Amino acid sequence: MYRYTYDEIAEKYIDTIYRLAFSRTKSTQYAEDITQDVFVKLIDSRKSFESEEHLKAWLLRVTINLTKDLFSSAWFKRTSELDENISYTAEEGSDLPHALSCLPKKYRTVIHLHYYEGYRVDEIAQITGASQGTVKSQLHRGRQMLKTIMEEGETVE
Amino acid sequence: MNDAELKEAYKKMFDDVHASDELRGRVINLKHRNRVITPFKATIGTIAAAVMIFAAVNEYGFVENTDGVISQTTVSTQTPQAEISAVKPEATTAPQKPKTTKKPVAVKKTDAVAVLPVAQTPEPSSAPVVAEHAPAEAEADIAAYTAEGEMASYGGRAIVGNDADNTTEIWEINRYYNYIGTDIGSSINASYTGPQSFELDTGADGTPVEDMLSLTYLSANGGNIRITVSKSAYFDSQLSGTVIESGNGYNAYKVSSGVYYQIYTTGMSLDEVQTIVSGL
Repeated sequence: MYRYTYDEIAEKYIDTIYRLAFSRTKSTQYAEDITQDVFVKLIDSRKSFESEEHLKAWLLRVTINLTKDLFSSAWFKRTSELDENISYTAEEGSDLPHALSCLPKKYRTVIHLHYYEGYRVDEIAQITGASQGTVKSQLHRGRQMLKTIMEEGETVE
Repeated sequence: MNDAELKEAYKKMFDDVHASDELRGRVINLKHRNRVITPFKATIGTIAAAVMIFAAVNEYGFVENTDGVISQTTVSTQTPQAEISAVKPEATTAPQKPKTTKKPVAVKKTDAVAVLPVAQTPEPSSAPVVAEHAPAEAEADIAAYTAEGEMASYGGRAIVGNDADNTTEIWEINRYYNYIGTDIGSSINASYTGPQSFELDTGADGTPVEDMLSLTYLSANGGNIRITVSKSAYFDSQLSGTVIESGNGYNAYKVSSGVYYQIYTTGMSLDEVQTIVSGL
């Protein structure tokens, strides 16, 4: 069983969770709430973890689940505003931030887990609860959409 | 842009995305409670000042039950004494459109497998049973899923499908209140603004397989409240009763009578949020 201290895990993974939450919600406010809630769940969780990687994957999965709940609520539909003050650092002239914001969140999630967190398809499938085939398809489709948006300046439905 | 370039550009973008120092402090202090507001303990004055607005209920959503009736102000006996109000406030009803208003009587919490109370004995029918004052949205939901020979609708729920393991049902909000054993709207000074029905998967015993729902309310002062409710997620949370400042307002966590609540608010004062927490 993996033994850890809360402070150590919080310090180490708060940015990881925040980034994923932000990539899904596109809002600093909701990302902050989600991040806080993830750690509430960690405090209250009685789950034991086999390794640090197991713990990290659990944190990411909880983050995804909490954002799902947020999106499905009437609250989100009534009070959400796209956060235009996106704190990305992109190369001058890069269309990547805009292109990413146009992607459906399921594609943004797999793109983020793959390109930023470095997870393989099978690992992403475990985190998201989707099949490997679905993850592969979402990754491929997400990349294609990014390419289309950035090259042609179009928003793909 | 090839794959490697995309990866490099993406990493560069997100490398500068960080949790704020303030968020970092709040998260660390969750465990140590340096900045967490102490659990709210109901005071006579606070509760006496609370004005109750009852959520409009469907007539067949509640059972008159003199056994273990939970009043609109008193928390279940399972709740720690500190959270039980010493004084029952004056109750004020306010009609909610489009439904009629009725003082709700929460059903005593029982084993979910043993009892799913319904106010009326359901008559088997191929047509959905729609209460006289059923909200328009629930009627539309149930009607939309009705199919001859496939559907049975009773007691505020409609079966819309099934597979080898679960049945998919549409539950009206009042049925859900019955299931969790409390009418949240009657416990807090707010009007319900969420959907009137929900799609849930139920197991062989008729209870939801995954019963976490988000319910939204509007406070009398215009504050927004979202309460995530679940019986299956219930556990003895060490953060129960705690109100925590968030970037948007106040969040709170509560476990009571076998139900787990996560409360998210904006536009509300600390006192208002604490009143909500104590009322659950």
